Amino acid sequence: MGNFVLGIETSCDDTSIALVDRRGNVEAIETVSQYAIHSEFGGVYPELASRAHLEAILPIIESVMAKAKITPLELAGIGVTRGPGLMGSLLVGLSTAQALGMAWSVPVYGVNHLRGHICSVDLEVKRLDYPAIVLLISGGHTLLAHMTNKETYELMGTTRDDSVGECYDKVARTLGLGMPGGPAIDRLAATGEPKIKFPRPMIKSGYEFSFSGLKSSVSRHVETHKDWDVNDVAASFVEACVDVLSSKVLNAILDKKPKILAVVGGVAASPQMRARMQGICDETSVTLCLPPIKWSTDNAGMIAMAAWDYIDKGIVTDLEPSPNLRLDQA
Amino acid sequence: MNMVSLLLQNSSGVMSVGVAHGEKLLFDSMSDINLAGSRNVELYVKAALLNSDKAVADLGCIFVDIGPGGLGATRTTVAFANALGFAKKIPVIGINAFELIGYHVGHLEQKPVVCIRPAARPNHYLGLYEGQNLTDFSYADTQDVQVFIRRHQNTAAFAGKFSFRTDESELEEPWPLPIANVASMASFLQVALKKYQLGNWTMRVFPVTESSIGNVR
Ligand SMILES: [Zn+2]
Repeated sequence: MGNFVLGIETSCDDTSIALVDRRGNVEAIETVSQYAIHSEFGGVYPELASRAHLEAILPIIESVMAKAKITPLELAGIGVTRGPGLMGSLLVGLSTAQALGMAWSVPVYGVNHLRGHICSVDLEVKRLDYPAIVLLISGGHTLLAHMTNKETYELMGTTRDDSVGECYDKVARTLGLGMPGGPAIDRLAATGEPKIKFPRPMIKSGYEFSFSGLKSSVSRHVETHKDWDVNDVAASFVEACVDVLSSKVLNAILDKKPKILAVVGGVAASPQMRARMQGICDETSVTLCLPPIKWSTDNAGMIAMAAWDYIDKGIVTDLEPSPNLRLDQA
Repeated sequence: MNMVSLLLQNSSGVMSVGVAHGEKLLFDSMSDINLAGSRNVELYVKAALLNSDKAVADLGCIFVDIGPGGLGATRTTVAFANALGFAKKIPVIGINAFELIGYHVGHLEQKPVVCIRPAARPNHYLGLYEGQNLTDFSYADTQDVQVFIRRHQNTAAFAGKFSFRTDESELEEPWPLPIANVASMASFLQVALKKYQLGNWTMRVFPVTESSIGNVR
């Protein structure tokens, strides 16, 4: 068996390719962002996304393999995202992986993108220990998971509408901050006062989330107040998000008594979020695990890492795109 | 051309795969009942090679239908063809679907062929295949398409897929019916052989979309 997995990630708007060994060392990775293509639409435009994946994918594979000086003969497998994600985008990755697997006689593993995010914690350095609570917060997902060991992915709760990252982006647009909204909002929030009492949606109801009401409240506030201060609105919005997420995380910790809290996804870059999660972990004597942000946002390294897990466990999935795949499905 | 080629057609939404050696068709998935209805390209290609007694390593060239047509289906096959060509370092030659159905229907009817398939509403892709060439290819809105159909209705045969929301009973003359929306594998191979002889082989192709052709009408 070869020593490397070729990871292919095309679930949304980034084409990412990586070569990862069994211990999680990333031999080479390249991610091409479609940010410029979609920014004028204010969101990801699916047709353009699939077209851009189709144009980018093979040149990136060629470049990554050349950079790492790894030949197809050295591959243990190809790991490719099979869902959740955009149908057309997933199809490009899956079709490409299938053809490469067939031509190179390498097995292809259809990987759950959400499990990829969790496996990203162990890229380069083994960080995850069990039992663990994982909070995944990004533009595409918001979920809380419990893992008693490497085998079990228990979904505790997810969002009923927008993801937290989506909510950040929409609020940033309302405040005229452009895309991506997260860093800009966090920066302004740092100097603002959280004076405005925005709602904390579903803060008391189990582990499910909802963010669309919060986004609407911010819009309403801006529409109905002439003298709104952008820093204060940002600070109040961030505090509402952090309150909701941290209250659910604290409940999960008290409930499941984990050794580790891992926070992954692009929103994990928020300094306010990091500080609050650190506070909770200090209070409850849980180790906080915040992998580097480059492994937290969508990347093929995490997909290759998850594929190793599929190889080890003998998980075989079909290679049909699965746009609504859940965490508890492989 | 004396080599083994793979032929992939999918833009109508119905996949068909062939394997040929030179001018001889070795396998045609359209005549394989076991494959009917599947959407998995790999399954088709594996069955096609197996039934032709060939391996991936034997392939010298891939021909793939690039539409216009169902964009998701076309993109799936095109991505597969590109990656297979990349991995085996063999040419991937894209063929416009209207050349395929135009040739096919033209051969049957011995007439010029008007090719039409739906694009984003209210547009249609529109082409005229005559003298073994796609002489006119663009997209147009419903009204322009109808004018084009009337202009050619007495002299041409029709291929592709179209329907208009008009009350047929009020029309002086009903709309013509397309004779086929898919080319037979034998027709595909004829078009492919001609393309190959023209040279200009590529390693990667992309599906035809409205933005890649422009509205010239
Ligand atoms: Zn993601």
